[in-house]
Amino acid sequence: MKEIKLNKLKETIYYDKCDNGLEIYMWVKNNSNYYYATFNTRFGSIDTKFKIKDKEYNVNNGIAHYLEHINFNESDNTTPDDYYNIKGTSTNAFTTYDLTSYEIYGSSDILGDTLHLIDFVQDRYFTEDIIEGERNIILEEVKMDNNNPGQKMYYETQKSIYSKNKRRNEITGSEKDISKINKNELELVYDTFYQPSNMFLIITGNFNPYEISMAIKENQNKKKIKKIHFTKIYDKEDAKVNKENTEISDNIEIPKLSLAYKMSRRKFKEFNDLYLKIYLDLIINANFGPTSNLKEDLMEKELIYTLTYSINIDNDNVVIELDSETKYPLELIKILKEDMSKLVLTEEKLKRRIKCSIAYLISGLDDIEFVNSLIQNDIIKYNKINNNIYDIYQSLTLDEAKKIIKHIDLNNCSVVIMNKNKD
Amino acid sequence: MTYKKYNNDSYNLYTIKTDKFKTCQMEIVFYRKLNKEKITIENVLSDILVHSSLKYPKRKYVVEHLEDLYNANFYSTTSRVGNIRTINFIYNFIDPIYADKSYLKDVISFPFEMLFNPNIKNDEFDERSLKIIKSRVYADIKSIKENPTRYALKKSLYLTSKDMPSSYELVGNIKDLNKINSSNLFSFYNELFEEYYCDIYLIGNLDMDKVNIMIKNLFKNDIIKTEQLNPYYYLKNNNNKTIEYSEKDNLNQSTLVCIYNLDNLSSFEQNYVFYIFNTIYGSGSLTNKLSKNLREDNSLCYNVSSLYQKYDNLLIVYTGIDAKNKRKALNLIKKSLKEMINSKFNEDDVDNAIKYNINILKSSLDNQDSIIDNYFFNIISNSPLINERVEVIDSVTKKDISNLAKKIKLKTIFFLEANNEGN
Repeated sequence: MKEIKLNKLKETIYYDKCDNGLEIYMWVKNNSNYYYATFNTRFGSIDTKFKIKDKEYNVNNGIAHYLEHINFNESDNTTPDDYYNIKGTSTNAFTTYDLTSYEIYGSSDILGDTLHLIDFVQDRYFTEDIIEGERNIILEEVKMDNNNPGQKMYYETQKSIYSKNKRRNEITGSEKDISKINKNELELVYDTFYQPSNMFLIITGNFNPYEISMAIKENQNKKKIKKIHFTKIYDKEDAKVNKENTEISDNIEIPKLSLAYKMSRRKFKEFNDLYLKIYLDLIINANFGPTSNLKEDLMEKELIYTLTYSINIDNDNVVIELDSETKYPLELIKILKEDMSKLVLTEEKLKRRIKCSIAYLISGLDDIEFVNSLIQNDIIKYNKINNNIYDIYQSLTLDEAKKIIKHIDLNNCSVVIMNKNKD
Repeated sequence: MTYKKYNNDSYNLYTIKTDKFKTCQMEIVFYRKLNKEKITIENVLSDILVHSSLKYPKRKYVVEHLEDLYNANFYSTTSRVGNIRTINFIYNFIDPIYADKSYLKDVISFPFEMLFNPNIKNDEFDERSLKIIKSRVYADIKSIKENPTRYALKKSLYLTSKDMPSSYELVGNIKDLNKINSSNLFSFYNELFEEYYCDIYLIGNLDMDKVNIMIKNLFKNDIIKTEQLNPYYYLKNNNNKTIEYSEKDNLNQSTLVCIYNLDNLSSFEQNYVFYIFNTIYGSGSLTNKLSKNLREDNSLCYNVSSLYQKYDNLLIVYTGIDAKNKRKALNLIKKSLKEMINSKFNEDDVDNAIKYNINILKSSLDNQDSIIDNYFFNIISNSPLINERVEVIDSVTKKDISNLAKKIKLKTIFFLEANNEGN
């Protein structure tokens, strides 16, 4: 067992690794009344292309999410709920672009509940009947998402930014994708990605980490899970946006606008992903967030109803996205572009945001679900716990931020406008 | 956890002292009997009071000051508890032990600075701020249509009875919004202090006696209210007739809603039995009757839920389905309730539902919002505190549940039919 100390925060994350490669992260909060555990596999909706030995596989979009549904069966008539209901424990699961996570919340039997979580995820039970029965449920989930204009706008924007990156596809897959998924394909991805060495467990709450870790190791030692060597394949994504202008319409009253700048990751090569993400957040927040002059101005002139931003960094590209609800999308595009070309950050704003980020971390330590997701994010994005995050915030400088501003490339941008349906 | 009430005549301060959290939460709650005509102006006033003040005339100054207070958060919400309308000012801040010496004084005074010194000159609210807020409320009203489930729920409540408070649109309406100006908003600001009850809830590891004295000096209103408030609403002109309506729209998925009226529930049924009934019937895990019958056994939907509206004496069941499955889904919803009336569930189901609810109640003791909410409901309706709930809920029996089920009467069936299914 290793103890990872979170510098200056006086907190410890306990880390252990089973012989088969399964990693365990634990954070203890003694005064918590319940516990939260997530069993995660590094398999998300973008992982549809991979290689085993020399053979390349291309599976259907949406398969990670389909598998998440199917894996909630222990036999023809038994689901994990049958076990957890007796304990009063809740269970659920979700799929993201790069992760599938199975979760439990409970208060009565952390050891039994956690071992059952591992067992039901690791013991697959797929039958044609189960797979067919689930298909229509997933199709209804997709239709529910399609009823949501915000969701449609989100994916339309991803499609306009990316040409090959699988973020352009819905996590659930489309209705067409879902109709093609079959048992063989589900078994293939399960055997490939649900191996212990591709998975990690995070437990947060009130418990003894040594006791839990020992029981998990014992559980894993009894299992024989075939090791398959695989390599994930991601097609290289061009630095150019896929489509510069897109106009769609939907059941809305106020038009929506998305303006996304895409630039090569190489432009920021002297910064690692974590620093780059923190700096970009600071810069965009200062210029388009609630303390910016611009946002207040645009609200006052009734040019916007909302203005939010997001930043995504992957191996190939950095994308800065500005999203708004506005009656005047064309006017707003001009203004946002103008402001993107004169980004500023002051020492005062930098210091204030550093203070806020640290306070955010401290207040997050009240919440076992927050800490669980913080660990999850660190492992998926950085493959390690960023235990020096406090020091990182303290080390940020205006000079470095200015360097990043200089590297921001505004030559490549996609615009998506969603208008109101014509009557 | 120590609960204490400070009676300060024009308002009460309710404190919960605990060292469980690294943060504190204060809620300043104004409430009175719901008045449909005031809904829109209540939303505008609650929003403008957190947006700016005389000392911080722009939102950006407010946010900057909150950031200086170690990322404190101050926002407002308006909601409804049966017959009662509440306007809540919610304030989260870090435990003063993590901050500098002057922090406690600064952090406690801020929300009162905002509420008692708003951006008013010559008996008029600042036009600039009002323009921004009105535009935001306008966007909220316009966006109702974007969520078909929400629309279907509201419409079905309206069809049940347009006089029911649950049928009122709580984001307001454009007609009332257009009538609001800086001068009548000032009059309404005065009405807030003259006619609404005010209570303050505070949770954290603070010297509550000291904070009480601080607040006494900051709370500048001495009008005492005496009106008796009863949050419970009972459907008028109730009969046993079920009415059925449908409507078509340009959507991808249809929504089916059933509204049930609850006849003469005892307080034991309201506070305990209903939660156990609903866990078995339609909330909680996927093994509940509705999910089992509609989703698991017949693959009709992704989501089916039953919502208990305690203070409205209503139960709402809704699901997203294919239009062709309407009749089948409706029959299964009715069948699920019949099974509850005829006790077609076993003692284990009751035990499991009790454990599930105890787990939720215990976990709510880890959450400041839930603790304050529970305290508020205790004060306005004498509903039991969390610890009492944990002790008493154990006594619910199978007989209690089937007796309760007999009191649930179907009033309204509403079907929002999608035109675009499969497109």
